[in-house]
Order: sequence, then structure tokens, then C-alpha cells
Amino acid sequence: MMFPSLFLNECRQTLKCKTYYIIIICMLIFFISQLSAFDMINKPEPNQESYGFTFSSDERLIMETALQVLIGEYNANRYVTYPIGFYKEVTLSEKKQAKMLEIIREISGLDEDELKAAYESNGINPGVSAEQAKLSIAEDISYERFMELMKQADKLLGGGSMYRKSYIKYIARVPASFNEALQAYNDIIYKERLTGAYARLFCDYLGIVLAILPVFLAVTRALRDKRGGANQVIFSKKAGSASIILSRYLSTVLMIMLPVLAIAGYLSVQFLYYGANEGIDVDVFAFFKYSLFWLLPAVMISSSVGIFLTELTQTAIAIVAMGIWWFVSMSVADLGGGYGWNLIPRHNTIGNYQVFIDNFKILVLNRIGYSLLAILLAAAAVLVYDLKRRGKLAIYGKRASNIKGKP
Amino acid sequence: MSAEIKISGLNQFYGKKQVLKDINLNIGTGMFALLGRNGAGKTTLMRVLATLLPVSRGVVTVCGIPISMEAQIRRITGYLPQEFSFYANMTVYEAMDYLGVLSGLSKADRQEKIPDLLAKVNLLTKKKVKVGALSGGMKRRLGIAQAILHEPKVLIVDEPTAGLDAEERVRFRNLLSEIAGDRIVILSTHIIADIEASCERIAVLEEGEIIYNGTVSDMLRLAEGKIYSAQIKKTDLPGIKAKYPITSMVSSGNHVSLRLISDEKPFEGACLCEAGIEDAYMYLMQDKRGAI
Amino acid sequence: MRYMERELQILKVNLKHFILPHLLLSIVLMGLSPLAIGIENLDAQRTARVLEMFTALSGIIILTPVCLPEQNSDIRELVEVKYLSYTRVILARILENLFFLMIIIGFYIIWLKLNNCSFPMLKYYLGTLAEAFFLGGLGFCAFMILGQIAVGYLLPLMYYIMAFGGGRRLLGSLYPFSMIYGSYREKFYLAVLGLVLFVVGVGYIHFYKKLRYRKRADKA
Repeated sequence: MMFPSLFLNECRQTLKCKTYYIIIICMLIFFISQLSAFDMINKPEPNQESYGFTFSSDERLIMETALQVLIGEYNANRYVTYPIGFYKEVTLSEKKQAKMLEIIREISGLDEDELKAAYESNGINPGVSAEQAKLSIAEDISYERFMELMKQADKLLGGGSMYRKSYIKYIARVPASFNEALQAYNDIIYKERLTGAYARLFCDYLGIVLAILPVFLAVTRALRDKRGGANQVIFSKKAGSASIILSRYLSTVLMIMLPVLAIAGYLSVQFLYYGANEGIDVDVFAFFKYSLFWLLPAVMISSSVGIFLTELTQTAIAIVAMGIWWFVSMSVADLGGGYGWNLIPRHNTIGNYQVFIDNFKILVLNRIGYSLLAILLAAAAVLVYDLKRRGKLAIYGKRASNIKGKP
Repeated sequence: MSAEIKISGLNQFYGKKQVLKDINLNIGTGMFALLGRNGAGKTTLMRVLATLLPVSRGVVTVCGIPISMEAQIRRITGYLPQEFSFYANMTVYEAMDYLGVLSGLSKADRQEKIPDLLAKVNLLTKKKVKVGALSGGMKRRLGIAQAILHEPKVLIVDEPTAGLDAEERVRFRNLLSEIAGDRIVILSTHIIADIEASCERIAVLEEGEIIYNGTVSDMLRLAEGKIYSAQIKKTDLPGIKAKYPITSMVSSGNHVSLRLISDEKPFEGACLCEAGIEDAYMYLMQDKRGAI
Repeated sequence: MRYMERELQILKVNLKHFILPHLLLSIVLMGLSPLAIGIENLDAQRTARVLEMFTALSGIIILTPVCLPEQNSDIRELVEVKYLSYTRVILARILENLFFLMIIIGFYIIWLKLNNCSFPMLKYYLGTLAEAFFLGGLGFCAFMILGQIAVGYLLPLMYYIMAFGGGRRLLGSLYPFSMIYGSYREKFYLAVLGLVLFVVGVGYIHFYKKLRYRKRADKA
């Protein structure tokens, strides 16, 4: 029954830690700076000037717009990609250009000369929108075949192009109608009970910081034994390696989630009052549910990377590793809700419920996958600690258990 | 430049807590021991002399130089802290070289002195070993080598044999005696054996105050005629312990050989004996504090 | 010459034993960047994006850990009692690390230029350096005052994250990605503030011991 005592002790130690309070302050400052995004939505009224934009799901329109973009890039042999979110221009070799031409031919049904003529006469360029699409696609091409060809095109370009699956369905942006805007509004109020939509936005923002902040606490904790020269003393105690490491790991996760849940609670109360005033039946637990489902896996990963790499190397290298992972995740994130396998799934709008539902399955797999990975890394940290304890990990030619004092 | 450390009216505080009270000491060349319990204030005094702590109140001069002139003081003092640690990824030679640079030595000086010193402390064969891989004893020897690298006039050694095994302790004491020469060497320790071998003068610190300052022989004289040895039954031990301060005790079967402090013969069978430093120290503590 | 030799030796030890892994990390990250970031045929705005959002982070990697070797208080104590003051050692390291930072950013800028990117070289070089210097100064100062390397990396990273969401409005003259919008004024403020942070950090180490004990002794 040592584990509960160890765990509570670790939580108490965290409360004495400067790094912990700095993390909370950073979290709060970041959240407050983004509060303006939480403005309440208004019900669309008929005869408004604009209802924003939506993405057309008209397959034909998608195919036509994609073709326009592709022909423009092909002719310039300059393809825009965002492999990790940074702009990258790809220039294809002759061989690859020839393959691209094949793709274009199949989609458009035109040969090279016809394509050139159409390009020149219609002033096609990569920036043209679906509304201005002037080039028609081949009659006999199916949407499935089109998507296959887009996949090939994206592969030719090394990934991250506008033809990738997660982007192509949003390539045809069209003005939203009143009915579409009203449908989106009703989805938020009735299907999501208001708080669901805002909870997703809450997770979108906080996910940015929660994927990186916990690593600092985990590293600080893991280095404390080294700093205090306490390694040998702790190694010699009765407590098992699993108890020692898991109590630290779980306390890090819990102590980071506590302020998150506190903010969730604050927002729930705000929305409860608003809902009561506006006659909306809000889901008062939405913020908590989303926090646990969406944010907890990121906290778990960041903490486990911190604890594992620090136990292994006795340095702060975990911060660099997590920093790089964070940077890449932030850069490739699809803000519109294409979650994929990103550590930081983004959903940077209020609503877009259909996108959430369409991608819900992958999101669930994503979160479960990262949670399992986090548990695996925590288990690896236990193993590393145990090996060190038994003197089986050598540092500077000495067994780790033999290093006296502070290295 | 007078080869003397003069401490006058030194009062040292950590926050509101006073850790040194009105310390007055004159320390000349030779080995000087600062003896006292853990927490008596020895390390604080060492750190003041090493310029690690600014003086709260009082006057301290080292060889005529006020302690506030840190750069000049550091030129003539060498310090071995209680916990000696250095960059684990440097080799022994690299560590000595770097510390030599920080001590203000030229390249020529370092090249000349470092091998000699490493040989003196028996670390020459380990010069390419990383500091992180050294044993406790080796680290301590490296510590003393770096402390005297720049030939300081004053050597400050805090708890010289802390963490060393018996054999290493003997070796280290011998080494210290060897290198003392005409330096001022201040040893702070709570281990009597560290003093016995080579210290002529001693100050005893208790709760931040000096309760004795003088020669070792004078301290022994204080306890003259007060130290008795006896062999008693184990069953009698609790009663005797309650009445007399015991300075040492060795068990042997059902009997215990002990030394105790008493103004007169405590009981039949007790014999007056010559006081050792440990006896004298215990006598002093009892006399000043009323109990041990 | 003797004086110079000692300073050079400090710089040599710093490079060999302390800062080399950090320099190598920066070089590797920059070297691998073409795999993921486009560094060819970029216009001025896109070049600014790469430099401000990516290259300048090397300031955190190279400048924050100047005093990391002495994080162990026993080592710090040993170094502080030496004739050559610890403050001088830190200053030498800061200058050396800054020198290498300038080299690394410089080479990266030249590489961009050789890859047919079009941008004002000197302005972008100084702008990126200013931002890197500020980020490093923030990390260094945080590490010095709060005593933990994790915090030293945390604060500049949080500043960087804040710059993403509504950063321009929030950070104003200290907005790090201003070159993307064609503005350099912010770089001047960042450079000055970076210098202030380094001065505060070094001053803290130098005066802390004296300030703390003098204040308390007067009260006693």
C-alpha cells in the first residue's frame, strides 16, 4: 500500500515546485489571451449580407476546382506543398512531370495540346476559385477514381500538397447560404447543446500548450533526485521502481490536469448561466468530457516523454525532443478539423459539427493510440529506472548505481 | 605581509538566524583545527574565509588583506569544500587544467605543476579518467590537489575526511600533513582523529560560539585528573551512564571497558588515566553546556 | 598575452565540454530543414517566416544554457572561490555562444540566398539575430533567477507560443514575427530587451549574494 502514499507525497512536492506555478501562469495567460475567440454565436437572420463560407461537397465542383489548381501548377512546374506546415515549392523532374500530365489528362479528358490551348484561352492559374472554374472534367471519371489520382499526385509531390485527402474535400470554398448557416447554428444549439462546440474550441487552444508544458514539470521532477544527490538513497529503499516512477508520472499528469479542469469548470458555470438566460439546454459536462478525451492524452504523452528521456539520459534532452515533436505537430495541423494522427488535433472554429462527426472515428483512434503510447513510455521509464537501480546502466564507465553525490 | 588570519567580532547571520556569535580568532602558520558538532557553524566560518559568504558584522583579514577584497584573497587561499564535485565529463587532467586557469595560472605554470601535484596525490595514473568515474577518495585527493595548485598561503579544508573509508582517511591525513609546510592550514572537522595526527592549535565551536581557543596540549590539561577508565559489567552500564559522561566505550562479552569524566574517583575499580583529545573535547562540552 | 591565454582556455573548455552538443543540435536542425521546409525560391515574406518562426529558435538552444554546467551548487561554489571571477567566466561564455549563434544564422542566411530566395540579406540577418538574442536572453535570465533549466527553456517557448495566437495584438512592439509583415522596428526593441535580460541575469549572479546578506545583516 505504498503507492497511494508515494503518489500523494509526489502531488504535495509538486505544490512546492516553482516550475509548476510558472506552468499554471503560462497556461492561464495563454487561455486569457485567446478568450476573445469565445464570443457567443448569433442566430443567422434572413437577408444578411453574408453567412460566411462553407465547403462545397459537390463532387463535380471539387473535381473542377482541383483540376484548375493542378493545371496551373503543372504549367509553371511549381507546386506548393506544406509538408510540415511551412511553405515548400516542389519542382518535378521530367519523368514526374510526365506522370502528372497523365493524371491531368485522365481527369480532364484532354491531351497536351488541348490542355495548353484551354490554359491560355481561359487564363487558368492556381489561384482561381471554384466560382471561376472554367475547365470541365472528363464525363466518364468517377469521384473515386479522381480521389485515387489525387492521391498519386500528392505522392509525386512528396506529400503536403493541396491534393492530399484531408485537404481536397475543402478545396471548393463557396459562400454559405442562409439555410446552411442556420443548420450550422442549430447543430451547435441542439446537437452540441452549445457547450460541445465551445468545448472543442477550448481543447483546440489549450491543446497547443498542453502538448508541451507538462514536459517541463516532468523533467524538473526527474532531475530533482540528481540535483539533490538523492539517487542512491532512493535506490536502496524498499519501494518498487514501478511505484516510484508511476507515482511521479501520475502525479505530474494529475497536477497538470487540475488547473485544466478548473478552467473547464469556470467555463461550464459561465455557459450554464448563459444557457439559463437564453433558454438553451447546455451540456454542463461538455468541457470536462472534452478535456479528458481530447487533452488528457497530450498531457500523458508530454509527461511520459519527459520522464522517460530524463531517466534515461539524466539531462533535459526531453525538452528538445518534445519541442521538436510539438513544433512539427503544430506546423502540420489542419486547423479545420482533419485530425489524422496529429498529437495536437486542431478544431479552430466554433461548430463545424459535421467535420467533427466525419472525423470522429479517427480522432478516437488518435487519442487512444497516444494514450497507449504514453503508457508504453511510462513503462519504459520504469524499466530504465530499475536497470539503473540494479547497476546495469553505465554512465562514464561507472555503473549508474555507483555514481556518488551529484554528477 | 603577515602570515596570519585575524577574525575580530565576527557575527554571521542567515536571515534572522545568527549562526556565528562574536568570533575572535588569530590563526598563524601551521595546522589549525576547528572542532565542533554538526551544525556548530564550522562550515559557515570556512565559507566566510573562502569569500563565499560576505561578512555580516565584524572584521576579518587574511595575511593583512581585508576579506572584502575578494580577488586578492582568492589569489592566496585554496579551498576544499565539504562536498567536492566537478564537471563529470572532464578528465582529471582537464579538470586540474581548467581550475588552474580559474586560479590565474599561466599555461607554463600549469604544465609544470599539474603532473607533479597529481603524482603527489597519487592520481597521475588516473589523469585521463573522467571525474565522474572517480571513487570518493580519488575525488577528495583531486580536491586537495586543485586547492593547492596555485600555491596558496592559506588552505581551507572543510571536513577533510568526510565520506572516506578508514584507509583513505589515514592516507588523506598524511597527505595534508605533507603539504602543510609553512602555510596556514585550517581544518574544520567533527572527527577527533583528523586532529590527533598533526594539529597544534585548536578552536572548539559550539552553537556558533568559540568555547575553546588554544593549543591541543592546553586543552588536554583542562581535562587532566578528570578522566577515568574502568571495566564494568554490562548490567551496571545504564546506572553509570546516568551519572557520568562517557567518552568512549568498548564491549567485550559481558563486560564493557569505558572512559568517563568525573571530578573525583567515581567508583571502586576506576583508574585515573591520561586525557586524550576526545576526552578533553567531551569534558569541554560538558563543562560549557552542562550535559552531553 | 598571459591574460588572453587564460580567457582563450575558458572559451576552449566551454566549446569542448559545455556548448558543443547545443551547437551541434542547432546545426543538425537547420541542416535537416530542407527535408521539411521549403528553402528554395522563397519570396521575402516566406523567407521571413522561415527565419522568424524557425531559425531564431536556435537562440534558445545556444544562449539559455550558458550556466548549465554550474547548476550543481557544489561545482558552482568551487568555481566561485577562484581568482578569476565567475562573472567574467559567464561573460566570456555568453560572448562565445553569441559568436557561434551569429555564425550559424549567418550560414543559414547565405544558404537561403544560394537557394534563390529573394530577401534583404543584412536586414533579415540582423532581424533574426535580434529575435534569437532576445529568446536566449529570456531563457538565460529565467534560468539564473529561478535556478532551473526547465524554466529557462519554458519561458522563451511560452513567449513563442503566445506569438502564434493573436500575438501581434498581444505582444505589440515585442512581436517576434514582424518581418513577415515587413516591419523591423520590433527587432530593435527585442535586441535591446535581450541585452537588458542578459545584464539582469549576470547582475543577479554577481550581486545576489551580497545584496541578500547585506539586507539581512542590517536588520539583525
